[in-house]
Amino acid sequence: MTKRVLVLALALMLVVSATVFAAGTQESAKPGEKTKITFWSPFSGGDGDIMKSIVADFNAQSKTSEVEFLIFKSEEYYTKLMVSVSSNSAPDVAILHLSRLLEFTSDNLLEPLNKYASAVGMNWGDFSGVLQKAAQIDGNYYAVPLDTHLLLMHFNTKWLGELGMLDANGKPAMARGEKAFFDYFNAVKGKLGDNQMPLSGTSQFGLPQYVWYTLLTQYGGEIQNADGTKATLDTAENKKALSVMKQMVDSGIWPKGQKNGAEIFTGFRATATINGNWGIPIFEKVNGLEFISMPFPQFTNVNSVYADSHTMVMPTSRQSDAKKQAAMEFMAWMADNTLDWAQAGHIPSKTKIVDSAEFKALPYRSEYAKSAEYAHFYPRSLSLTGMIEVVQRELATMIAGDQDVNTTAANMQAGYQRLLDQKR
Amino acid sequence: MGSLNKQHDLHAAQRKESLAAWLFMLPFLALYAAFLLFPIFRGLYTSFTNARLVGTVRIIGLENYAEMLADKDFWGSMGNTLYFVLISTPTIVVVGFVLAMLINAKLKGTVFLRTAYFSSYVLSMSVVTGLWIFIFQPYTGLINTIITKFGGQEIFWLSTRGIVWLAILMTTVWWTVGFDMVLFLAALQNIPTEMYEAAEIDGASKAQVLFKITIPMLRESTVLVVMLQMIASFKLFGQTYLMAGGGPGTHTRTIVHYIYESGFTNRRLGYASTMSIAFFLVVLGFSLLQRKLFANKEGR
Repeated sequence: MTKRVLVLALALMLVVSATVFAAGTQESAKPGEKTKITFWSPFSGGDGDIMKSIVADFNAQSKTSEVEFLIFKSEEYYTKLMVSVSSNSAPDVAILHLSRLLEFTSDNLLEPLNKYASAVGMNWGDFSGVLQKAAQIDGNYYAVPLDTHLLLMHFNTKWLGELGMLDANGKPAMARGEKAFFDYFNAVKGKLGDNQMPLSGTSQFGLPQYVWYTLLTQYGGEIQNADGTKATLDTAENKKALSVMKQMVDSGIWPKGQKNGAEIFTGFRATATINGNWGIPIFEKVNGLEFISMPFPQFTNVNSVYADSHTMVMPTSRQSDAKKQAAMEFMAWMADNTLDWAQAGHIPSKTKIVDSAEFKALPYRSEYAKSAEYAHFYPRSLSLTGMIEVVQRELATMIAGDQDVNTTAANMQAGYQRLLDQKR
Repeated sequence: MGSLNKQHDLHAAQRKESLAAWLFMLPFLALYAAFLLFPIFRGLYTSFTNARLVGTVRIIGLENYAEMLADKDFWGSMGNTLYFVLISTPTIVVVGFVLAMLINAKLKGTVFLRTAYFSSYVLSMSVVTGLWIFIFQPYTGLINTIITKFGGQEIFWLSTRGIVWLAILMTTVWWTVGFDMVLFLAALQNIPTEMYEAAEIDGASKAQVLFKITIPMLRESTVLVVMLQMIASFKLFGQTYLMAGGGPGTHTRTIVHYIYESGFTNRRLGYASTMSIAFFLVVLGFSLLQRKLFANKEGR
């Protein structure tokens, strides 16, 4: 009998211990302890290290808060973030690209910041006009912008100098316009040997999409109509942008099939490369690479370049007001200390930092900081993530030589319109 | 009376025993129910709703199923997956068998070979695909560098129709063949040596030994290996997604990829669940079909 009791007791213990472990624990800050703030980001490249050191600086100076910084792979970041908010396990602070703001606010996944921001005395007027406007929806601020980041073109000045393709100021001798672009790079191509290419740039995923949106807006197109109900991608403007891209590939200026365009540039296989400003920290580390980062060429009379902004947001949670206030203090401190963030090539969000002597002293930045004035963000859309997926797929297919311009435009239109229809 | 009482005691004791057994199983059953049964039934329920990743949920009956049947992207992705199952299952099973035979021959260095063939199986998806992207990528990749050194043209392994499947297949064989090999090896070592000795005495040729003894004796294991391999091939996602982005176009977009895209990129969990249920039924159907085919041959 006693043995049976023992057996039963043992079995019960197993069950109980399993449930206890499953339940986990809810943590809260004790008095005298620092408030712990979790902070998520998708910075898996060089900018991750820079952000890490900025967060370490914050932790060193803060007497009240301790920030725990986590980096996720960019491909899975937004899925993880979204699921975490809906399962009430979201971080206190998260990085969000400004273009995705509506997708998050429409499902009430973000806290409005007005209350907390005014408590820390944040002046929204400090931010550049474009960002200030884009960070609010219906009068509520949801995001604290850190930067503007945009597409650039980087040139190997030593190599192009040897080829005689630089002007007297040591910059690429390329005039404005579509024809000038092709003339310049065809001339470069004529001077190159085997296994060398004029222009590198990854042939799939994000990069072709940045090039595409830059060209689409330069040729006067847009992804959707004014109220965001109809896709406008089967248009003359889009076909023009696509055919220019296809011409860049087919002429051998920007050869197809590139898995990592930056690697080809830093391996001295390409005289120039298409990459964002975030490529600069990588290029700066390469021994013997002399380069200049310039605004992306303008193909028409309309100034435009693809851009987005890293912002900090507060996912919806059941955390206490005190904790949310502490998170806001961290966000405000970050926005004031973006000069270090500019090391990653990004353009700071606050005008007084962009105008500071310290920022201007950084190399290359003054060359391209002015292109932030005509930076073009995606319009607000509830289906932006899906649109990007469709566009990236169609562009990669066209670049691979598997699909013509008309089919690409038609597929983009059908794919995006289907997503817009599902959301209503 | 006495015997009745005794019987009663016996029943009571048995009841207590089985109660104890159930209590011991409870932790496992709780986890099984929470992480396997519940998600399956929850998925079935979700497939009848308009659920998105977040927000309110409404039951919409069979709307998702109707949409799925008319969705050419669904059929296309399912077709791609079936294509891969067809090309990969025989390849990996045969290669696994050959490697197992090679190691079982007990030549010099087989311990090293066995470890070498199996070691890639323990690597994670991202490591494997990262490695093979480096091997296949144009301009700077291993294969193309060699080809162009000898005056050949760049081959666009990961963005050309047809060729991309070859690249995916090679990667998958390299990654997972070790598992099939180990299963075959275990079965090979279970074949009684007397049979081989008897065959030798009878003067059987090597081919006769292979086809009359080894392969028939491996029948049971082969059924298992083929089944496991087929299911593994059905689940293809990481290699095509990470190496080719499902492209060119949707040429290598598998059904798991399309479910992921619908559920997480476009946030349509309801529709994604519907396709998951359909996918489950297809895999189940193929597994049953395979069992039936093998069982018939054995005359059971």
